[in-house]
Order: sequence, then C-alpha cells, then structure tokens
Amino acid sequence: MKKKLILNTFRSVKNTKSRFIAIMAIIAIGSGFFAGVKSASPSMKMSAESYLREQGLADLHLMSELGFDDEDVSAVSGAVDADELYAGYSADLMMSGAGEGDCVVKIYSYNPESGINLPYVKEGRLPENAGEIFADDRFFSAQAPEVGDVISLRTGDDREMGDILGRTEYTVVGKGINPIYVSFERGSTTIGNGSVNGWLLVTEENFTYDIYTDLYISLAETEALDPYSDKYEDIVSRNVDMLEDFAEVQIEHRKGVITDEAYEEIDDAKAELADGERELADAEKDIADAEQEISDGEAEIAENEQKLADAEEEIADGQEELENGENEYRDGEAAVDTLADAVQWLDGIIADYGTNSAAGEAEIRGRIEAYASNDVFAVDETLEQLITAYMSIPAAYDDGTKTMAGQGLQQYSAELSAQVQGLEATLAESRIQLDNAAAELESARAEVAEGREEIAKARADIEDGKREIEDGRQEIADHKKDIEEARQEIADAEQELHDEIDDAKWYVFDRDFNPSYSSYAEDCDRVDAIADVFPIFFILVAALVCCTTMTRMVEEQRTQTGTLKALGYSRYSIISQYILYALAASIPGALIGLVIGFNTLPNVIYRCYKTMYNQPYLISPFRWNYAVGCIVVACLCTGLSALYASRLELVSCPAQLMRPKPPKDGKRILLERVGFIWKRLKFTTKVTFRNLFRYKARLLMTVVGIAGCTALLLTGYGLQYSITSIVDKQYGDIFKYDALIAVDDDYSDVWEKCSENSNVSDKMLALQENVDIRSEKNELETYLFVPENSAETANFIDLHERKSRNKVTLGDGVVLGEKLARMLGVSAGDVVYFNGDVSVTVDAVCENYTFNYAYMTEDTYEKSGFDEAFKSNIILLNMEEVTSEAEDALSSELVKMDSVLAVSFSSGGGDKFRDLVSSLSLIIVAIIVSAGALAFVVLFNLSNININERVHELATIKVLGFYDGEVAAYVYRENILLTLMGTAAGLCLGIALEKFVIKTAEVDSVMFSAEIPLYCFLEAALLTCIFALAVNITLYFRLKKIDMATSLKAIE
Amino acid sequence: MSYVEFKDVYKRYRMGEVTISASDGINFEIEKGEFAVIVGASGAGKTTVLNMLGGMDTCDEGNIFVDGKDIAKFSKKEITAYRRRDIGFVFQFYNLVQNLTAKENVELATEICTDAIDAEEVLKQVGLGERINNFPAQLSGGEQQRVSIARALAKSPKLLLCDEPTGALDYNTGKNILKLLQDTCREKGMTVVVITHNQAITPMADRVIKIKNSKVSRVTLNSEPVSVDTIEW
Repeated sequence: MKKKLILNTFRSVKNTKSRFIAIMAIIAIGSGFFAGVKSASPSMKMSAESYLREQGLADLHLMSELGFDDEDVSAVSGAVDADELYAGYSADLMMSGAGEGDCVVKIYSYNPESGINLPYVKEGRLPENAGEIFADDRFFSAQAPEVGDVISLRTGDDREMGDILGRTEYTVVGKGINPIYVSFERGSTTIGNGSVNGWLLVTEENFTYDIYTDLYISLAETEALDPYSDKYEDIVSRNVDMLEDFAEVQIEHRKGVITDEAYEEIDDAKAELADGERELADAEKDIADAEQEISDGEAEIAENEQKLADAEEEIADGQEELENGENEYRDGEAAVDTLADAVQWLDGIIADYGTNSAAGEAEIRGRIEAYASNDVFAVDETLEQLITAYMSIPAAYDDGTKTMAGQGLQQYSAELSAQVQGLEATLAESRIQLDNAAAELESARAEVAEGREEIAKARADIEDGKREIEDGRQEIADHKKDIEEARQEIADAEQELHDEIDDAKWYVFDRDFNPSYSSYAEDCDRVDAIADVFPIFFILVAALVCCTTMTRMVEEQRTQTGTLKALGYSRYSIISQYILYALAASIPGALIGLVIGFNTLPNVIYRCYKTMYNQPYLISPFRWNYAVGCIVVACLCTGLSALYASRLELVSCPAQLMRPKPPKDGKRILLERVGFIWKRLKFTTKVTFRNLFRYKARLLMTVVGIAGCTALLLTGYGLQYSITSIVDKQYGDIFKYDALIAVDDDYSDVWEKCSENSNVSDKMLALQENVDIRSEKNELETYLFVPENSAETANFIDLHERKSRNKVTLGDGVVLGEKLARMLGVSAGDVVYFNGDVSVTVDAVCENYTFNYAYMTEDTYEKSGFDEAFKSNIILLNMEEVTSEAEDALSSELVKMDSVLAVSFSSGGGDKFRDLVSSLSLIIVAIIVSAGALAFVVLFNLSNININERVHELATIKVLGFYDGEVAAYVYRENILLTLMGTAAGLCLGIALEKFVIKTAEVDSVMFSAEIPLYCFLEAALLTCIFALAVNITLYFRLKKIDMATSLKAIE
Repeated sequence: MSYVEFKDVYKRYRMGEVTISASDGINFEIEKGEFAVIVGASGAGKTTVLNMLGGMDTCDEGNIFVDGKDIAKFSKKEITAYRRRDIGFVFQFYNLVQNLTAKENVELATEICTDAIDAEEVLKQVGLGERINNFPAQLSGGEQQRVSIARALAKSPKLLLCDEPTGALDYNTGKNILKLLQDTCREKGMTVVVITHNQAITPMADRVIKIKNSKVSRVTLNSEPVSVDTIEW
C-alpha cells in the first residue's frame, strides 16, 4: 500500500472523528460485553479451582456408621492412590456464646499438617492449642462468635460430652471460610432445631473419640486437574466406584471388631450373670440350711425346757425331802436332848437316891412324876416301867432292894446314854447328808437358771436367724429381678449390635455430593448461558452498525475512489484503505472494550454470587483466547463490512465513479395502496413514511438496535422485579404470620407467654423440619411444615395456586411449593418420598418463592410413617402491631426463655434473602448501562448516517424556509417512529429474553416470579425513549449546523 | 427606493490567517418585476450575492433591502421566515426530494406557506400537468427543473432566485427553462434573479449585473430585452 494512501486514510480518520469513534465505541461495547460476561464463568471456576486447591478440598469424603480405626485408614490408603489422606473427627453440638440462647454447630477436627480442607483465614488465626477454636465467618445465628469470645459447647441430646470433646469451653481465635462449605447452606442435623447454624474447628487433640468419624482423601491423579473438567469427574467417579466396592469388604473389619468387642462385653456380662445365678442358688441353699437349723434349735429348746421343768420338779421334791429330813433331824435332836435330859435326870436320881435314899424319896418321886408328865417318857415304855417299878418300892425297904432297883436304873441309864450316843451319831450323819442334799439342790437350781438363760439366748438367736432369712429372701428376689433385667439387657445389646452392624456401611462422597459445590458450577454455567445470548446480541448489533457505517463511508468517498482508480491505483490498494480504516477503529476499540470488560463484568457477576457462595476472591485474568477471538471478530465485522460496502465501487469503472451516484429512486410504498388511509395522512406524515421505507436496511438496523436496547432494559427491570417482588410476595401474600418462634420440646411456658402478651392476636403450633424429598426424577432438601391444627393454617399461611389463586387446603396428601414440584418433576397425584422411603401422594402445588416447603396435616404425618413422632417445634404468631419496637419488645421477652431457640419476624424474615437479592441488582445496573450505551451508539450512529446521507435534502428544505424546529421534526418524525417500532419490537423480544434469563439464572431454593408488571414495560419503553431523545437532542445541533450553501453544490 | 437594493455589502471569509472578501462593497438595485441576470466568472462572488439575497447567508457589513425591509438586520428567525414567504429558489441541480413525487415536492413548499398556490395548478403552469405523480427519478432533467421552478413559484414569492438553472441541462432544455422563467416574469410580474456564468443570455434580461473580483463591475439596463428563442450560444 502506498504511503500516500495510508496518509490519506489517517487523514480521513481525523476528518471523520465521530464516525471513527462510533465504530470504535460499538466495537468496544460489543467485545467488552462479550469478553466480560463470557470470561465471568471461567474466571469464577478458575477462582474456585485455585481456592479449592489452595485450601486442599478433599476429592472424596468417607463416612461410616461404624467409624474408622487405624486399620481402616491404612487399608484405604493402600486402596486408593491418595495424595493426601486425613482421618478426622466431627460432631454436631449445641453452642452458646455471647448472645442469648444457643445454636447448632458442626465441629471439625483440624490438622495443619494434613493439607486437606484447610480453612481460609479471614480474621485472627488458626487454632494451635487445645481450647482454641476457629469459627465460621458466616454464622447464621445471633450467637455468631467474634474473635476473642469464649463459647461453650454441649451435646444437646443424650451423648456424653466427655466422649466427644475434652473440654466444653473454647476461645475463638479466628474466623474464616471452610472449603467444605461452598455456599451459605450449612446442612441439617438431628439436634436442636434441625439446621446447622455454623461450623467450628479445633485441633485434633481436643477430640476424645477413639475412632475417626471422617476420612478425607485427595487423589494423586486429580492434583493438577481442573475440578470442573470431565476428566476430573471420570477419575473421581472411578475412585468412588472402587471405594464403594472396597468399602463393602472393609466394613467387615469394623463389624468384626465391634462384634468382638461387643461379644466380649456380652460374654462378660453373661458370665457375671451366671456367677450371680450360682451365688443366688447358694444363698437359697444357705437359707434352707439355716431354716433347718432354726427348727432343730427350736426342738432342742423345747426339749431342754422339758428337762428343766423336770429338774425343777425334782428340785422341789428334794427340797421337800430336805425339809422333811430337817424336821426329822430337828425331832431327832429334840429326842436326843430329851434322852440326854433323861439320862442326866436319871443320873441325878441315881446319884441322889444312893446317898439319901429316904430323904430323897419324895423328891425323886416328885421328879419322876414331873418327868413322867414329859413326852419323852411316853415313848420309852421301858423307862416307865423302870420308873414305875422304882417308885413302887417303898422308901423304907432295905437298901438291898433299893440297890437292886438302882442298879436297874443305872443300867438303863447306861443303855439310854448309849442310845443317845447312837442317835447323836446318826444325827450327825444325817446332818451331813442334809447339807449335801441342800448343796446339791442349790447346784441344780443354778444349773436350771443357767439352762433358762441359754434357752433365752437360743431363742434370740433363732429370732435373728429368722430375720436374716427374711432379708436373704428379699435379697434373692431383688437379685433375681436384676438378673432378669441383665438378661434382657444382654439380649437387647445383642439385638442392637445386629441392627447396627447388619445395615452398617461406608458412604463415599465426592465433591458433587455437596449440593452447593455442584450448584456453584451450575451457576457458572448459567452465567455462561446468559453470556452466550447477551454478547452475541451485542456483537450482532455491532456488526450491523459497522456495516452501515462503513457502507456510508465508502459511498461518501465514491469520487475519491474513482479518482484513485483513474490515477491507476489497484483495487487492492483502494480496498486496503477502507480495511485499514476499519482495523484502525476496531482493534483499539476491541482492546479498550476488552480491558474494561475483563476488569468489570466478571467482578460484577462474582459479587452477585458472592452472597451465596463462600468464594473469597476472584481471579479474572486477561484472557488472550477471548481477546484474540474478539479482535478477530471485530476486525472481520468491520473489514468485511468495508469489503461488502466497496464491492460495487470496485467493479464500476472510474468514469462512473466520478459522476455523482444517482440518488436512490423514490418509490411508492405499500401503505399508499391503502388509499383511504394514505389520503387522510398529513403531508409530512406521508413524507416520513416514504423516507422510512426508503432505506430498509437502515430501518431494520435501527429497529433491531432499539429493540435490543428495550429488550435488555425490560429484561433488566423484569429481572429486578422478579427478584425483589418475591420477598414481598412470600412474606406478604403467602406467609401471613408476623413472627416465628423456634422452640424446644418443652414449649408450654412459651405458649403461655404468648397468650399473655397483648400484642399477640393469634398463634399456632407446628412442626417444621428439614427433610429429604425424592421423586423418580430428583432428590432435594426441603422444609416440611406440619401444623398441629391444620384448620388454623389459613390464618398464618395462605396456600394457593399461583395462576388461579384458588385456595389449597391440606388433605390426605402433601402440598408442595411450586419450584419444589417443578424440580421434582411431579404434579398433583404423583407420589414423593420423604427421608428415603416415606411415600406421600402430592395433593396440590402451591405458590411459593423462597426456599422449598412441603405442607401436610398432622394426620398425614402420623400415618405416613415418619421415624419421629409428631412434635411441634415452632410457634407462629400474628401480631396486633407490627412495628420494629413492638417486635423488639416481643423478641426480648421471648429469647430470655430457655425453651426458645430463636425468634424471627416476617418483616425481617426476608432480610437474609433481600441481601442476596440486592447484590443481583448490580447485574441489572450493568444491563441497564450497557443497554443505554447500546441504544445511544446505535441511534446516534444511524441518525448520523441518515443526516449525512440527506444533508443535501435537509439544506434544501432549509432554503425552502423550514424553521430549525421544522427541519429537526422532519428528521425526528422518522426517528421517533423508528424508536416506537423498535421499542414495541423490543418489548416483545424482552418478554422472551427475560423468561430465558430467569430460567437460566434461577437458583434451586428460589422461584422468581415469572410475570413482568406493566410498570416494567413502561420503564423500559420510557428509558429507551429517553435515550432516543438524548440522541435527538445532540442531533439537533448537528442539524442546525447544516450549511444551506450545501444545497447549491452538486451531490457528491 | 428600488425593490431590491444592495448597499455597500461586504462579506468576508476567514481562511486561517487570510481573510478573503467574497463581497467587497457590492451595490446594485433591481426593480420590481424585472428579469435580472447576475453574471460573472466562476469565483467572482456571484453565489455569495445570491446567498445573501436569498437569506441563506448573512452579510458582514452594509444593507440589503428587499421590498423596503433591510434583511441584513433580520434575526435568524426572521430570515427563515423571509426565505419561507418571500423567496422562491431554483437550484442548479433541482434539489428535489427524491423520495417525493413531483406534486409532493411542490407541496413540500406549499405546506409551510400561508397563501400558496395549489400544487397541481402550478405544475400545470410549468407544463407538467401529466406528470404530477411521478418521482424525480422518472423525470428528465428539464422536467425536474420545471418541478423545481413550480416548487419555487407555488409559494408566490416576492423574488424568484435561480442559481445556474440551466447548468445541468442540455442546450434546448436549458432554453426552455429560461423561457419558462422569462414568461413567468412577464406574465406574473414576478421579480426573477438568475445567476449564471453564461454571458450569452444577458440580452434576455431587463438588467444585467456583472460581478468581477467580488465587486459589481457594471450594471446594464436593457430597454429592449429579447426573447430567449432568439438567443443562441
């Protein structure tokens, strides 16, 4: 290409600044938008990939109902080609922190050396010592701990804290993001209100579990792979299959260990039981022996008592005998005394009589007589005879007679004395005998007393023995019961063991099992889908605009082209000029667009999704592939337009070119054939219509450009409405209640408290829990809502069909939210399954926007066979006064109560969601701005061309005396009409576009409202008109500047 | 005072550092109903005169009286109104709106005038009664120029200004157009000003104003103007 031509080209750039800038701008917008939106998805994925790699999110997560022991861990590490393998612990616990009440947390162990599932630190640091804890950065609870807080943990059910964690109080040392949690969802649990509010992380040493609960694996093969690539999926799913097969074998190991342990215990228990039984039998025997002994003892006692009684009788007899003996003895003594007296008396008489026979006769007589009166003599007849004989001898008888008598007496006395002596000897003997008998008696008596004492003692012993036996019997009965229980327990334990072990298996989860993980990828793909529509649309418009602009330019330079041809320049050189011009505009334009696009749009889109996902940063590199693609497409766009535009000029001969191009012939338009309309039109209107249809290509392009703008705006506004309105619809139209109180099992005091509160106008009890729901097609999570009294439901939740607005009442089946039903692919009459196998028929589908809900009556709940019995866990309230003060008052009153887990208000219920939504409005702003830019560039450029092309005509009508306003109106009428046509077309197109975008942009837990309200149409149309007006205003000054002298010149 | 009077009219264009006087003290007069020809070589400054007279450009100095009013002192709006009411303009290249039929092109002018003549009537007057519904592309150059004249006449202007009306036409057609203009002048008493570089047609004019070097070099009054038919060039 000749230097002068190049120079000429750059001069023409200088001279046609506005056109050049217009091409540059449209190329910049087109390529910037395309590259920006298109790179958003790969950038988001790339960021996720880098972040997940950095944090070492495990590829596989193994869980087992039986846990893992070291042998399992080493077996697994032998089975898979693992880059890293981490065996850790986790537990669901209740946490109470700085705030009132408590919340549910999932606590994980963490080992900084493992390189798996490392948290991303946003604040503070990671835990290093026991007692330090790292907390969730997005704690969905009022108890969200801050760094430095001390929190305490408890199990919230019958598990022992000591079996899980070594301590219950921890100090928060840092906060951040856990790669396990991709989104804001924290999962469900079986404690508390059923949903986890946040996670916590402690070092391994804090856990007291003796087996591992979780096993995380990073595969060696996937180390360098893009986690969203097919290859990654293949490798992971191969490993999942392999591990699942492996698990079926390996589970037997734990089963064995547990069975052994359990049976060891059971056997011990059984042995103990047997010992116990044996002991019991012994005891029973002992008791029987003791009873025998006691009865023997009793018999002996009776015998001994008899003996004693006999002995006593003997003693009594002995006593009597003794007393008789004594009496005899005493009589003997008295007889001895009498005899001794008699002897003495006889001796005295004898003595007296010998010596004084005469004198003493009388006295002896007297004495004898006195003596005879005594009893003693009565017994002794001999003596009487003697005495009588003695006394019958008269006093005067010789001595011889007398002496003879005296001698008899003397003899007798001697006899008597001997008798006394004999008696005395007998008496002494009997004295000894008596004394002996008395002593014997005494000792017998002592013996009897002793016997009695012994018997009393024996009796007491027997009494004791009896009591002991009684106690023993009681004890035996007790033990028997214990043994029975123990036997039952053993049987239960065995049953339990079997239950536990027979169904036990390993669960092998890959990343996709985490719903948020896959939905992140899906959301990225959604952005990509949108990225396919919007930017292509922009590129199309850009191409059209370039095409017209270049065509116009080539036409304008017709004479010059002819001159150059005439001068002998080749066709190639001439075309090169235009192509150079085109490239000079498109390459910088594309570059500007790319730089802006790459740096803004991915960020805008990322920000929208950031509220939902825990992706901490975005990497948006300058993507050369897109950049090169954009530049090539832009160059093709402009270059081909230049080529297309100059095609005619190139075949024409120079002479033809030098002559002015004949203006495009005027033609009748179709409308003229409709005479009755055409005749009624004002002249100026006719002119407008004629002009409009004169340049059909431009008409089309303008309409397409404006339609695109309107469609984008309508999509933007529609989207904004769809997103923002759902909060009001959900919490205004559907959820009529004002407050929701989550309560634990013992809620009666809360119920009472609510009854007492004057601001509470109505209240109801219900069960709301997180459940799995499954259809033939899909498996999801949803809230299950079961009112305790379904008749009350209507006052709190307005269940109705969306289109017909027909009320839905709860019957025998389940009522599903619309989105839920759609995702499950079910409608009324189909069957869905809860928590695996609880089947319920779908009764109806109701309008629902945020989150997923399934509704059923308590009856249905009970009948369907859910594992847990119905138990209300929430109270819904309607309030008289719904101001934030009233809400504060109510909530502060309630949260103090132990049984209140949480209080939330409908007015604020949507807040969490509103945050999510507000970020999406950024996308809408982006759409509106780009739509505006698009409209402006298209309209301005096309109007500009229009004016340039018709400058002669416009100068002429100026000469004819048209005022500035009239000249402007002459052009504007066409623009206005085009704008209106474009707007109308755009509104139609917008409906489709909005539907498409909503369909692709919708997330699982949300249904966007499909309808677009009238004001969105008005807004979109109005804004388009404002853009058009702005363009027209700038045009006005251009029109004013048109020199009338132009009219005098020949048409170029 | 004459119907049209230029009095010491100056018009200067600044081209970078050089100032060029396109009109360097122009003075002339034209009487009502005259057929005036302003003649001069290319670049002599005749178009500038036409522009100023036609209200398409303003002068820097001097007075331009038309029917007793100094249009040099008119505001932008007044000057537009002046163009609209008082001036009929015939262009060298006809300047018809291609997209409008002959009639519609005329109507384009009558539409904005208060006391316009009916478009069809004017077209009949210029001899195009049969072709009123044809588009410019369907008309010959002469016919197109007639439409242009009709458009100018339809407004019943005070002045009919013609810029090289035959410039783009062949000899005979050009003659016919000049005849039409002359007849219009004579029959309707219209003041017609024709600007041309063609000296040959000066005999048909009542007044010939010769411009040279941005000045009026000579004004000739023809007491006996001849008919176009007698002129040849």
